[in-house]
Amino acid sequence: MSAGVLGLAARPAEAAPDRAPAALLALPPACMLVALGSGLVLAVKAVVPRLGVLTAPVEVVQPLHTLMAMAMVMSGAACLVLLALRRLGAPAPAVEVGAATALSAFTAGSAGAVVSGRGSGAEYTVWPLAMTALPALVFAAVAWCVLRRVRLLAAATPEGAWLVVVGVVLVPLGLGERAAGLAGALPYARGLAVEWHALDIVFAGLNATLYGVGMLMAARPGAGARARPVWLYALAAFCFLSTFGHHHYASPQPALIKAVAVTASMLAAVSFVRHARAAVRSRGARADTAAAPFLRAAEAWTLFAVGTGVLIAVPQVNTLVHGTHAIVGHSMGAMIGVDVMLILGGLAHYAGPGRADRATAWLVRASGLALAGVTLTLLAAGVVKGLSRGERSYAEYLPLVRAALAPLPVLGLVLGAALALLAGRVGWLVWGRWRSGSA
Amino acid sequence: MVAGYLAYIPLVLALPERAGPGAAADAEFLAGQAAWRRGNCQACHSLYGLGGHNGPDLTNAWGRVGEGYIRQVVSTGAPGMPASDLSEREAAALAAYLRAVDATGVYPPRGLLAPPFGARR
Repeated sequence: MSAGVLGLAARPAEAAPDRAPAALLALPPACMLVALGSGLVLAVKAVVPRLGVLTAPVEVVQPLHTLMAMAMVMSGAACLVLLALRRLGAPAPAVEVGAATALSAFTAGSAGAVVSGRGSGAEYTVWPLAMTALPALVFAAVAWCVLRRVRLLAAATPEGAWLVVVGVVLVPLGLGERAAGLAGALPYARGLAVEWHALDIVFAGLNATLYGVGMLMAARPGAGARARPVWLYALAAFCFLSTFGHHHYASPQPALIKAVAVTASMLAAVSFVRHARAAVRSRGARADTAAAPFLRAAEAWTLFAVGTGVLIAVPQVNTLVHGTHAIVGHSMGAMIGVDVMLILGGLAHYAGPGRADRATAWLVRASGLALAGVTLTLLAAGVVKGLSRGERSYAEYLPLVRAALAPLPVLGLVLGAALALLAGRVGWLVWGRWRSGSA
Repeated sequence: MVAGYLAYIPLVLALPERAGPGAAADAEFLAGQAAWRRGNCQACHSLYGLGGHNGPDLTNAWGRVGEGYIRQVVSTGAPGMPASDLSEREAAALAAYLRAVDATGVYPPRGLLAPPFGARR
C-alpha cells in the first residue's frame, strides 16, 4: 500500500536504501532454528532425563531454548513493524540498521553468556541483566518511529495501528520493569508480583505488536477498516495492563492482584468470542497472498491459545494444571501456532514474493498438524500430573507423567522438521527477493 | 494507558502480602536467591509451579526433606541432575532461601478441592 493510495503525506523514500538489512530479515528464522533444536533436546530429556546429563545439561539447554524463543519473537516483532512502515512508504533505515545490529549483538552475546553459565538464572529473561538495554532501546526506537507515523498506520487499519502502538510501547516498559525487579531487593511475594506483571506486560506487548502487524497484512490496500467501539479498546487496555491469573493464584501474592488477574483473564473470553466469530466469517474465503496460509493458521491457533488461556485461568481448573506440562502445551500453541506463523507470514508478505505457493501452504498445514500432536501430548501429561500429584509423592507420579510424555520426542522431531522446512522455504523466497534488491 | 501502567508499581509496593516470617528480603534470603539464580535451578525446578518441569517443585522441599538433604543433592547431584558448582556457602544460602519460601505457603495443592488462591502453611 502506498502513501499515495492513502492520500497522506509520507516522508520521501528516495533517501532510504531499497531493501531492509539482511540481518534484520535473517535473525528471526535463525533464532527459531536454534530454539527448535534445543527444544527437541528438551523434549527427549523430558522423557529420558538421564540422557546427556553432563554433555547437554538442562540448566544450559533450557535457558538457551528460552533465549532463542524470546529473541525470535522480539526480533520478529521489531522487524515486521519496520517492514510494515517501509511498505507504507515510511522507511526508517537508521532504526532498521540499529535494530539489526543491536538485536544480533543481544542474541549472540546472551547466547554466549547462557552457554557459559553467566545468564541471569531468571525465568524467561535468561540473559544477563545488562543485556536488557539492547532490546528495550530497539523497541523504544521502533515505538518512536511508529508514533511519528501512526496516522499512516491508522489509515490502513485503526485497530491494527492501535495494537502496534500499544505493543511497541509496552515491550520496553515491561523489559524495564523486569530488569528493575531483578536488580531490586524485594521480599519473596512482592518480587513475584513484579516479576509476573513485568513478564506479562512484555508478552502482551509482543503479542499485540504481532497481531497489529497481522491486521496490517490482512488489510486491503486503501480500504481503511472500520474502527471498533471504544469499550473494546478500554477492555483490551485493562487486560493488557493487568496480569494473567495463572501466574498469581497459587503463590502468596497480594489478594487484590489475584482478584484483578482473575477478572482480566475471564474478560479475555470476549476476545475468544470475537476471534471465533472472525474465524467463522472468514471460513471458505480464498486469498492467494503470501501471508494467507500463515494468517489462517494464526487465526486457528489463536482460538486454541485464547481458549486454553481462559480455561486455565478458571481457578479450579488452574488448581489442576498449574505447574504442569499443560501450561507448556498452551504456551507452545501460542508461541508456535500464533507468533511463529505471524512472523514467518510477515516475512513472506513484506519481504518475499507477493503470492502464496502450494509448497508453503502445505508446510504450514503440516506444521499445524505436528503442533496439534505436541500440544495434545503436553496437555494430557499435564492433566495426568494434576490428577495424580494430590495423593501421590513425586517419585510415585513421575512414571505416569513420563509415560504420558512418551510420544513427545517423535512428535517434536516431526514438528521441528516441518518448521525448519517452512523457515527454509520462507528464507529462500525472501533471499531471492532480497538479492534482486527489493525486500 | 501508560499512566495506568505507571500507577501499578506503587500499588504493588503498597499492597499487604500473605507471607510467612521467613520471606523478608534480608541478606540471607537475597544470598539464597542469588544462589538459586546462579545455579539456574529454575531450568528444572519450580516454586509455586512457576519454573521448569524436569524436576520436582521445591516450594516445600525444606520442610519435606530438610536442609541436610538439600545441601547433599546440591553438592553430589541426583539421578538426572548433575552436581552443582555452588560453593558450600552458596549451598547453605540456597537452603535458607528454600526455608524462607517454605514458610510462605503450600504447593502443590493437596487435591482438586484445595483452595485455588493458595494455602497458608
